[in-house]
Amino acid sequence: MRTFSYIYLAFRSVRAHILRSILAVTGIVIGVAAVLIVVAVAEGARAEISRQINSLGSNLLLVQPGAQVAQGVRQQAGTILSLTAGDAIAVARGVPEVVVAAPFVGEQKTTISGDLNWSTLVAGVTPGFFEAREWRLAEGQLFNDDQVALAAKIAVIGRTVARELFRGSDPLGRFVRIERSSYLVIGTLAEKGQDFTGRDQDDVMFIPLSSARIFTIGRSQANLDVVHSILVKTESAQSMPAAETAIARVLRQRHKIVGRKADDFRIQNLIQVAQTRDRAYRQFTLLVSTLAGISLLVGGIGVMNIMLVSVTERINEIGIRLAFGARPQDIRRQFLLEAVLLCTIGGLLGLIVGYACARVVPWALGWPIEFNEAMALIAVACSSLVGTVFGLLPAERAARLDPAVVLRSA
Amino acid sequence: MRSLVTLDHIHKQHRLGDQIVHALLDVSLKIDRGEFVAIMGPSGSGKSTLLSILGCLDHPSRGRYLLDDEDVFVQSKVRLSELRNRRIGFIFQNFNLLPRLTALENVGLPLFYRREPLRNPTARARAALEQVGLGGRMHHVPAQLSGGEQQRVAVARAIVNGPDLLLADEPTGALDTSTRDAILALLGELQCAGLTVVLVTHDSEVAACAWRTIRLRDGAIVGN
Ligand SMILES: Nc1ncnc2c1ncn2[C@@H]1O[C@H](COP(=O)(O)OP(=O)(O)O)[C@@H](O)[C@H]1O
Ligand SMILES: [Mg+2]
Repeated sequence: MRTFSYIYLAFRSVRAHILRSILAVTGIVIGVAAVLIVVAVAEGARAEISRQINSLGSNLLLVQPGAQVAQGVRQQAGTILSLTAGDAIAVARGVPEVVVAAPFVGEQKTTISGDLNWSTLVAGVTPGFFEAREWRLAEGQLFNDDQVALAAKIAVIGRTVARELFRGSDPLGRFVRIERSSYLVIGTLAEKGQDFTGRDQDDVMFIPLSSARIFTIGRSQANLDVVHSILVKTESAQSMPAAETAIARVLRQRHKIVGRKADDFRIQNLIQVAQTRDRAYRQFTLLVSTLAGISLLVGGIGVMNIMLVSVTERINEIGIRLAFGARPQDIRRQFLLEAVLLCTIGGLLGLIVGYACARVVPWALGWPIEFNEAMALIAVACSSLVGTVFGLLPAERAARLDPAVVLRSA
Repeated sequence: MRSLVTLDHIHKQHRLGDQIVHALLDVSLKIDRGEFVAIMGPSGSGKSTLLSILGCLDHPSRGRYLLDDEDVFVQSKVRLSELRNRRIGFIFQNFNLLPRLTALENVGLPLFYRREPLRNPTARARAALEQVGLGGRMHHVPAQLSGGEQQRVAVARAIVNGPDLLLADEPTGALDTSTRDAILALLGELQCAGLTVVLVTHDSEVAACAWRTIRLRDGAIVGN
């Protein structure tokens, strides 16, 4: 009960000097608000990454052709076209952990429908690709193995392409022209959004791998069997390392690479790439939160300053309280609680300011945010803690005062 | 019967730079329960110093102070605050009320610091205010009260915890004669009700109300 009286006492004292109190806690307000804004933005970015990881499809390995070495300098991956559709088949057959090995060719092309045109990624794939990437149909159907074998001129288009080429009318049964070939749209895909590199995954048009090789992509190349990459889906996350080794073994054998000679291909774990980004964000959050936390400490010093001034200013009050029976610990408790209350109010104000600012970010900067309640609680608790720590010295000063001060002051 | 207050060879000196100021020089005195004592003397003679030692607000440099049988200055700080809280009531010349608190809250201050809290401290504070004739001014802050009224609030605060010893340092120094007389009458009433009153003044009319006058000069007792 007495604690309540002390809180009430502290509250009255804070309210009595409202302007000074607000100035005292400005540092705390800014510190807490900064922590919350930074965390909200970083968590927003991480939530986006996690959404992207999910849209990628699970347990995926990407096999790409290796880099050519020109005058001792490694060139970009894929500068030599070492992979073939045959490699994909061999991997699917030869590695038990592999569920799907989907060959892929792709090129940026201008697609035309009626008087509209749109430059998009035209990708030649097999049905396994849709399975690996977990593409869902919005309408119509996907192409099957027979249609791929027949090199049918059919297409399944992403949402962005559907929007740009058909402007709200139904694309199913309509034709999309690429150079001199026309493809019949048999399906549209459900939206996936951006991938972790920021590319719009829905800006894509899928056609059968065979049709792509014959009519549209890389017609100048001698070997029609060459593909740009192979997407491999393994049965589980645990089996990915084993699958990676086995795939490498199969490909080295097929490419006749022996001994210490370097691979002419590269195997990447896509989830790992995304997770690395996620980790980077997490470290960034930690770093910036720490900096913001330091501003909380600086805020604490501000509060201590004001409290020390307040003790000096209120020597008469302290003397009167001592003269009528307050013990040193009563005075200490009063001033400590006042510091804690000040900082807690500062923390709560920071919470409001931080929340308001965080809400403005997506609107002003277009970044996604994710407000973290636990972090908000921790930040407010931290400011109370700061109040306790930085209130100790002023409270001790007040408690040490001699009751005789009441005779000399006023 | 033992005296309520026994001072034995009390010295108090202040150090001002390398100079030593003797505020009290070998003061010994006894005050019995129920007495009304006035302390007189010129300014700077040590009256306030003596009273603050009696009120446990200040420590003597040397000497012993017995309150009943209790040797006061060997006690802990906590015990001293308890003595100030329960056994002693102090009245200051400049009232020393807390400016942001109402009269009722000011009077309640000693109750707030009581070790064994009362069940209804507000009722007790209200009763004390009524006793000094300020029942109608409970929710006024000091700035809304006249000097006489403020001093009444201070008296109510001094007696609210039922002390044995009421100490007043020039309680009428800041008041005009009519309010002065009212305050003196109030102190007289309290003394009749059994309280021991010690009053510092340089006004001989005020001192005339007391049974006994202790005269100080340069920190020493020159008349009793
Ligand atoms: N804190 C102090 N430091 C130095 N000298 C003091 C202090 N307090 C009182 N004195 C000195 O002690 C003497 C007695 O003071 P005081 O008891 O206030 O006298 P009175 O109340 O009779 O006017 C004075 O000379 C005063 O200057
Ligand atoms: Mg004096």
